[in-house]
Amino acid sequence: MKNNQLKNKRNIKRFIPPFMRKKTFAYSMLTVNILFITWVVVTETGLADELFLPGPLKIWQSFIEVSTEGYQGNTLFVHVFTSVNRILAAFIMACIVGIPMGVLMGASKIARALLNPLIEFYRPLPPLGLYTLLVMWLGIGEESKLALLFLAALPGLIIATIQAVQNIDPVYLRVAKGLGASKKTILFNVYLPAAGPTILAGMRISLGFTYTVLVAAEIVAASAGIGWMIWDAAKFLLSDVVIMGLIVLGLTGIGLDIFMRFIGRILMPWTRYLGP
Amino acid sequence: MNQNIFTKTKGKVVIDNISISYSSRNEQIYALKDISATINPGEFVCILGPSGCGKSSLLNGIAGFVNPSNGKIALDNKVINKPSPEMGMVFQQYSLYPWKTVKENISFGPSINKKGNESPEEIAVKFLDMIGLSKYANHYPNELSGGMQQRVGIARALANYPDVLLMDEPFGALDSQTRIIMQENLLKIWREFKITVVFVTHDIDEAVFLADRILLMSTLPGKIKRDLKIDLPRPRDKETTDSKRFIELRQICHSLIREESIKAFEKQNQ
Ligand SMILES: Nc1ncnc2c1ncn2[C@@H]1O[C@H](COP(=O)(O)OP(=O)(O)O)[C@@H](O)[C@H]1O
Ligand SMILES: [Mg+2]
Repeated sequence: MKNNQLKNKRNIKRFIPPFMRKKTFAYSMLTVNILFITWVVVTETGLADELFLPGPLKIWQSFIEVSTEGYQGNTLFVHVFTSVNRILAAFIMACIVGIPMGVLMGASKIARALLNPLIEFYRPLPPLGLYTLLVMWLGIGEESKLALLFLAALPGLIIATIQAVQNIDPVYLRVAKGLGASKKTILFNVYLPAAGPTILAGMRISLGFTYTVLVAAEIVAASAGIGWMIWDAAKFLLSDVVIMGLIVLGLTGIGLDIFMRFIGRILMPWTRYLGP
Repeated sequence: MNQNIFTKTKGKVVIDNISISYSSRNEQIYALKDISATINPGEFVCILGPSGCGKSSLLNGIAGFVNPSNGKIALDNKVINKPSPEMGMVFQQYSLYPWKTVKENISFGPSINKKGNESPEEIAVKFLDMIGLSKYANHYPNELSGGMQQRVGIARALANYPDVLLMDEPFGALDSQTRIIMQENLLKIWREFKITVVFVTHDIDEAVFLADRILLMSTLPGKIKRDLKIDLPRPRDKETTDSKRFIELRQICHSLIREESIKAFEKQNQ
């Protein structure tokens, strides 16, 4: 009985992201604490102008205020929910399109040659520049916002997936071919699981990149969304709302990243045993 | 095992005057040239030679992974031009799927090629028992030692009930103690299955200990230099390696290989 409980505890522990179990996590917390204390000291002593850098207390108050009373008619929850919804919708679409495209491009030279120009061309364009065109094509509504987020997410995903597929040890394919496996069997039993960990890494980077264009995507014709809230508050020099918004945005990003790693560990349980 | 009855007559490999070449830097390089050999059903044949002499190329040709540029290879009178489940391959190492458990690795083949009335699951359980790793059925390969992984690799290859087992330096990465145990186990499995085995190695002791016949290869381009019958009694065990005949045969291989290694070394330095 006791043994069983112990085992359960260990099982639960496995699902805690490894970074939190490591000693290095304590060092990371140290950096966070030093930053926080510096922030308090700089604002309390009046070294920083409160107009541009309010203290933690002010930020906290603004957090409570926007959470309960809202900003420009919407509560913080609505802003966050709207933005995270947009990001996730666009990101999931990008995964549905990008991962199969990447597998195809990784496995076939011809597919790679055909499709590469599509992503290579727009990849270096600045998101705001791209957005103006998207607005002209798709209007100022939700479509252009989602399209921009989608386009931001796509290249990272495709490139990571191509790399993942190209790096598959040929012996894995030989084993399956030697057994006479069909293309479909090879896709689901070799390509996807072998490429899985690298694809996941690509997904995490890609999600981060999607976040970086959020403000750009929400500048025009939005009345809710955390990116829009930050942009709007900046116009009125409401630095506490801006900073609070950035912190909340960052925290949702960290939350989603931890969630993705968690899903990865469940979908790919073997990765827990990779390496020593 | 009920497989014995029909595998005894199956598993004949005829290599008929084949050459295998690769193009590298716009040059045709012959890894093998004009090789012929017949491997009889149930025979244990070792292909022995220094590294780079084309052993893997020959084995991959038999497996159907590489097509010869001339000549042909046939299994039981059927020309081989692509991999088939009649042949099981054991690779050097790290060829188990890390994303499948030990049991799933073994049942993968049977789930593709359904033969007889055993379910893939039943086959996996049976072979896990045979290699003595039932306890590790639900472990992932990375949790196993190198020797255990190779036992799983052998079980995976046998799970399709192939007529020929092809092995490319399967114990090359193991320590010498584990390696000896694996060799003895392999001979037991071979006796039980009465299967044809083609075993590639550069280790002379290993070849002499295991083989009915050694095909000794020469280098650049690879040819069969000597077809050496190993007349050591079976079953073989520790005492075999102490016998006078074993030491004699080893000596013969040593001097032949030495010539080849020196030749290869000089050719590379020209
Ligand atoms: N895919 C390949 N492309 C080009 N050259 C190759 C390839 N595979 C093997 N070779 C060459 O063929 C020769 C024989 O290689 P191999 O069959 O692997 O020998 P062994 O297994 O005995 O070490 C070597 O000189 C090697 O460089
Ligand atoms: Mg080799």
